[in-house]
Amino acid sequence: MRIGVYVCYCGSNIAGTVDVEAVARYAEQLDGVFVARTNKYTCSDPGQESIRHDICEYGVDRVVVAACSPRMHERTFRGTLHSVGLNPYFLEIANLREHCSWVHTDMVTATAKAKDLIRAAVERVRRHEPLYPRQEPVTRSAMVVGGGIAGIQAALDIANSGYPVYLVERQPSVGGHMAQLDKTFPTLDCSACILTPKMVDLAAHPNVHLLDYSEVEDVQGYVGNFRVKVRRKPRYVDVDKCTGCGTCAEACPRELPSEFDLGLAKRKVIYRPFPQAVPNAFVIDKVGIAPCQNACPAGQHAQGYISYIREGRFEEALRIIREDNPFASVCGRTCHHPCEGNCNRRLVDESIAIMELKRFVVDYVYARGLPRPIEPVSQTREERVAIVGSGPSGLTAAQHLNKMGYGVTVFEALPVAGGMMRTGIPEHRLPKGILQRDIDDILALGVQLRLNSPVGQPATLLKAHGGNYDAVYLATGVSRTTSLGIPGEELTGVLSGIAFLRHVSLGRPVRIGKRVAVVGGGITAVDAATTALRLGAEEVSLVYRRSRGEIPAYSWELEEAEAEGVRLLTNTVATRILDNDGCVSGMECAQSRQLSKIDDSGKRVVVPDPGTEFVMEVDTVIRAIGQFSDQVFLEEPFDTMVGDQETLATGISGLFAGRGAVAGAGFVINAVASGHEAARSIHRYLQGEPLQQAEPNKRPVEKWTREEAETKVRLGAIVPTPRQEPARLSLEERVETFREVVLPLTKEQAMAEAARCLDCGICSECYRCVWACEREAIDHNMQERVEELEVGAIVLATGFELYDARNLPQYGYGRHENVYTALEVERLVNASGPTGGHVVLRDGREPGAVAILHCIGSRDRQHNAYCSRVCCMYSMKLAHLIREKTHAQVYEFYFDITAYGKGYAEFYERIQEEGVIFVRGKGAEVGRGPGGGLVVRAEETLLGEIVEIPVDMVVLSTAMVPAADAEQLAQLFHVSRSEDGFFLEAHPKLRPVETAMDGIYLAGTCQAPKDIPDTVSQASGAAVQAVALLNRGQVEIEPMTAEVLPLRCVACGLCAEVCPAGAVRMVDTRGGRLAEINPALCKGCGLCVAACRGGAITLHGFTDQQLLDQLTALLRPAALVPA
Amino acid sequence: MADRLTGSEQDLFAAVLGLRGGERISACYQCGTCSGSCPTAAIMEYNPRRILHMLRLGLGERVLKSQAIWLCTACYSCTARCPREIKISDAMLSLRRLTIDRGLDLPANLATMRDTVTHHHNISGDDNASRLIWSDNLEEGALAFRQKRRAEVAFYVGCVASFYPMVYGIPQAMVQVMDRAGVDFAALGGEEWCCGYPLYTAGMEGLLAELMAHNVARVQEMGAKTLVTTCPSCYYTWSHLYPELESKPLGFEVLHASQFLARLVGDSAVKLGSFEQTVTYHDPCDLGRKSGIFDAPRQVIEAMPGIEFREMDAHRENALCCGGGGDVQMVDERVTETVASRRLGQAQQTGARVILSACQQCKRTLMAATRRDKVRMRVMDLSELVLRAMEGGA
Repeated sequence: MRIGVYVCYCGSNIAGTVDVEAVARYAEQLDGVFVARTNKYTCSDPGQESIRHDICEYGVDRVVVAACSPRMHERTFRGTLHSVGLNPYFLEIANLREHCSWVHTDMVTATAKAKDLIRAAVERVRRHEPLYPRQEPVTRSAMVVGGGIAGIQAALDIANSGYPVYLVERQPSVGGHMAQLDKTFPTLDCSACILTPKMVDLAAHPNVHLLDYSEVEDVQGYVGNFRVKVRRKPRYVDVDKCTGCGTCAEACPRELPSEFDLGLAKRKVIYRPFPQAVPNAFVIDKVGIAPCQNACPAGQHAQGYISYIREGRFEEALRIIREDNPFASVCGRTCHHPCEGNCNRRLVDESIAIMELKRFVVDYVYARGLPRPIEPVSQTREERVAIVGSGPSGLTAAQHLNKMGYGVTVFEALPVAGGMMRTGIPEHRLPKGILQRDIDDILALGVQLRLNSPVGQPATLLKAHGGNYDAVYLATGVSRTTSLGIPGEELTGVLSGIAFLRHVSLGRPVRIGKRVAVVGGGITAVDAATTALRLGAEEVSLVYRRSRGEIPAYSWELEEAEAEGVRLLTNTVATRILDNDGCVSGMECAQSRQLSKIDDSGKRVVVPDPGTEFVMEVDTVIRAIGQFSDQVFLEEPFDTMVGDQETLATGISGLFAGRGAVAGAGFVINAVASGHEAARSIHRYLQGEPLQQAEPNKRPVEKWTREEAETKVRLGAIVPTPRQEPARLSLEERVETFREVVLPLTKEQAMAEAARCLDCGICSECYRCVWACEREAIDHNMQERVEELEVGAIVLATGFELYDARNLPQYGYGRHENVYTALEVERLVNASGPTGGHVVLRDGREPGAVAILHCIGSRDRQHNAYCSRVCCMYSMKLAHLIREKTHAQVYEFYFDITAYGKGYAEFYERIQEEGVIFVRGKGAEVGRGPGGGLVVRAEETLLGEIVEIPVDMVVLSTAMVPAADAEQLAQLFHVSRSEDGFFLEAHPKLRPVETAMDGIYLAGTCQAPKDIPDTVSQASGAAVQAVALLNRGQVEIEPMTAEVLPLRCVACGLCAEVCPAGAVRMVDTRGGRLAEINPALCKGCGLCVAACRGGAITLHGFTDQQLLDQLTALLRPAALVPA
Repeated sequence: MADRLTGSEQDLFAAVLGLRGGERISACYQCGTCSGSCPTAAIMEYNPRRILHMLRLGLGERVLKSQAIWLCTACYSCTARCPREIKISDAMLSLRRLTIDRGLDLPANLATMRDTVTHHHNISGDDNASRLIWSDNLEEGALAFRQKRRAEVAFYVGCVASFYPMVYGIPQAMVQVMDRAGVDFAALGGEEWCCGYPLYTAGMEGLLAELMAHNVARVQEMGAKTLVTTCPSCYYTWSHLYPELESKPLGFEVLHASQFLARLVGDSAVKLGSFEQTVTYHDPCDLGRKSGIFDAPRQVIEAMPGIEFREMDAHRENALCCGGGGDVQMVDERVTETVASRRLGQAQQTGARVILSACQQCKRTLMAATRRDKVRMRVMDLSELVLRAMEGGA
């Protein structure tokens, strides 16, 4: 082994402090060193030539260059070795400049240190191994993240170079902050006029794929071969169909502050950020699903119809309700309303009275004879469907299929339609006439109903079995007998609750005694009890085996029943019914305080406590312990047939059935939901589509926490307001008649109640936009998609945000209404801005004096230590624009003027000449002046006097700061951030558009604050870097990467955890689980090597042996060191 | 430039750099935020920004001889806002100290104050044994604390509340509130010595040690777990200066009355009746900007049923000084008066009928301002408000 050492003077950089010749002489006598030379500049041609010469002539095969930092010339010297056929990694750099001469002043010690460094380098280079870079092909397309001016420029440059480029923009339109600016300094060009042509070019460019309203979700891979997942948020508007006409926004009822106008103007929930938006399409602002809608089994758009009620537009409200639920009248009365249980308003005061509002709408519309959505639907499809059973599920399916254009016939065994709604819910809770309204409206659409038509063998209805129908839906519920299982159940006077209610509702004679016991605790039990009261029973007891808290009936029902006189016995089981000549004479009961073990059905069984028996004197017992229908006209095997859990299909093709006991009193809404499900499944069957369909992704539920709700109350966004309660019949009136107990809300009550709705989902899905759009471009069910793209290079152009002026309360932003941020004033002076370009105060007056305060949050260690670089210039530009549009006196409170760009200093001079007053002193505070104006207090430092200048408007020139999610972005793309939070470039001088992550480049203000010319220049620079990479077609991967020694790896996973580049993953191999390092991703940082407890990872070029030898040479006691 | 840079003047700048608050003076970029924020800069012959610049130019001698450094109210506004994080307020006190160390003239009243405190152990020069004179007129029931030698809570009254009849109401209210809340407390009486804050502010930091040693020993003898004081200056001294000087924890908790009251209200030991008045709250500098206690007094105020609380435009970190700090009142009472009138004007803008504070010095200066300016506003201490609300409100 022959080592050559080349010590560099670096002019006087090294030689000024280090005795270079002495160092070379020292190196010469080190073990293994064949030759040591000095050069004035080793990096120069003659310097490199001396190395080449020694390699060729003397067979030198290891090289130590003692010169500047390896960051500077390691590549250069590797090239030198490579050019004469020596492996370029047989090189070691001893840094005598940055690590030695530049940081020392004493020549003696510096020289000694230089010797140490060289000795260590010689020991290390001895251990060097030949390494070989790898070549990888490049995916020839690029991605630009961020659609501001930086992203637009970079994308256009790449596209014009002939490569496809994906531009990902989070907002609904590209344009970024530049679109918000009025004029640009120093030329006073109209910002929009120079930006929008570029935006149009972008949209029209065949190589640009614009991914609007999208965010990067995941980045895998490495330089030349990135795999990026992009989340495409649903716009709910088809960009291809939307013409941007704006009819939808005119129809939209709700306004929100416009983000584009910084809250100075309003926009609708369906909106376009600004008229020149690209793509020129609208978007609907939705957050999650409102909790009410989410909780509803049928997905009723409660927020939607409530928004109509608020405006007094009740017909539209009914139209929205009926979109999802044909039984508005029924559900407005008897629903168990999980919507109210989940209402966010409960965190503030009480839930919205959603059920009462629904009832109000139907009652109001019918009472006034207002038009209802019952235009008959023409039968556009050939297929016919039969529905067996006219309960809520059957009729919902019938209506749904009818609206799709199928012919539908409903078969009902009883002489009346409605199923359990008709026979299971007593008149005083759901009057028959009310139910009939809903049914009549369904029939009015064209659904055929055949009463008194029991179907014993439904399969025979199918065409395949000789019938007339293409599909059949069994919507009958399932027969199940429920008995108390105690002696005496066969006696006269023992009735089934369901049968009892049915007989009463069908007007059949029912005999009950004076003293009635109802066994059970469900809704049917309570209904039976209150019905018995109305039939003249003098004493009605409800016997329930568990505690009051466990009762399945709703508390409000129970309370009303008790108020009417029903007696409740809890923790009581019926043990025997007493016989008196075949009739009931009493019921023996027992206390039940203890529960048995869990039985086969998984429920705890209640057991009577021995010795606690007592006898109730009753003459009628109604058992209501099961919610099952006992009236089924089907024959075997159809009486027990259930549909598939997911598709509702049965073993017979074309025959569909419910899942089981789907229809039950009190759960009408679930039955409605199942009806829709059946209709969708039958539709798929008839269209030959697969029945099994993936659940569409649901948006998250907009469920608030108590803290969130309390914050909104504290900020005054929500004012606690009591819930409107409907009037009720007096108790005396109730028990004597079957009149409805609960009265409807009044119109005023309903509108006041609707006004309490918090609009949790933002968009209420009132469908006004859908009805307004003639292009049918709006689809409220649009789904989020994730696209996976492969690109070779990525340009980050994610931009900046403005520092929140509220962090400096002394300037009164957010407290004094006429204190603005500069960007807000930018909108005020803009002709298409919220004031049409008039610079006015909040009360509409023109300001007489305006103060512009520089450096708000910039150059301030308490906020941002850096200079934001554009504030001085835009402050002066705004001064010019304000004076152009008003007669105001303008004061600039500055203390240094940063006007460094082309034409900038001249602009400063121009603004001075125009008569703007420059006060040298930072604004210290903004207070209220006498007469309601503002006063800026500061020191005029050139005078040395404290001044208080009265003005009407204050403009705060706030700092540019990194995007709020810069840290998440940095992690996503594996790039670093500098101390100020902006993305870190690879080198501040020489590689300002690259990052430490190969293949990822920076453009614009995501790297540091800068103005538009610098941003555009950097964007073009980043584009060139990206294009250069794509052009090369392949990338060279550094061989200094880590490798796992499989025999030592214990698969603990620590290495994968610490790897900042995501290069390590755990894999299962035939030899067991192992860490595997992707050399293409590995940056050679060595963290995994340090983390590995088993010493199973080695880093090529930095092996343990190399480092140990280098360190040993440095740390060896002085006595052992060659002099 | 008349003065030349002499060796001694360079030494002076070096000395300032080494003192409390001097560390970052070199980084000043002369923006003037300090002067613009200073309540008294307009009256100083050299404002704070100029003082910093003069020190750097070697003109420190002129600074030390000026009256400007004695007109700082030590309100910390400059420090709170300085973009270069220079502790200007502390630097001002260090300049006072340098003046004294170099044997230069100091305002006559401050020399007198020094002698009074070192001889009488209080700021007024009264007989220190009469420290509890303010409690003589209290009802018998509330006087139990005077007999106690040991207690859970030590009530440190402070010189101003002990000897200035204008603010006797504050300790009177505080002991009645604590008595009704069932707090086990006692006071040090004649064994209470001045905390030393007026000396510290006057640049006589060196005289603090003796006072501290005495006070800390007495509180420890009492076996107190908590020290409560209604005076924000005493609070700052006990919570910040003593532990720094002693370089170890004192062994008991130090609370300002507002914190203690907030705790009593939070624990329902004090039940507040309604107080139907519009009030505003003036943040004492020593409590707010210097000790960071902004929320506790507001919690107490907002817990009061019926009260309408309106913030002044300049509040919390941005509150204007009452003018009573920094021993300025002893140097030039007119300066204090000017600042107090300005603060009173800000309070009037809220439309409130009552200005609340939590400091006897703030109460004195603001009350004096209402009389001088003939403003019909009541000035009350937080403890007095709590007592009123406990009695059934106004």
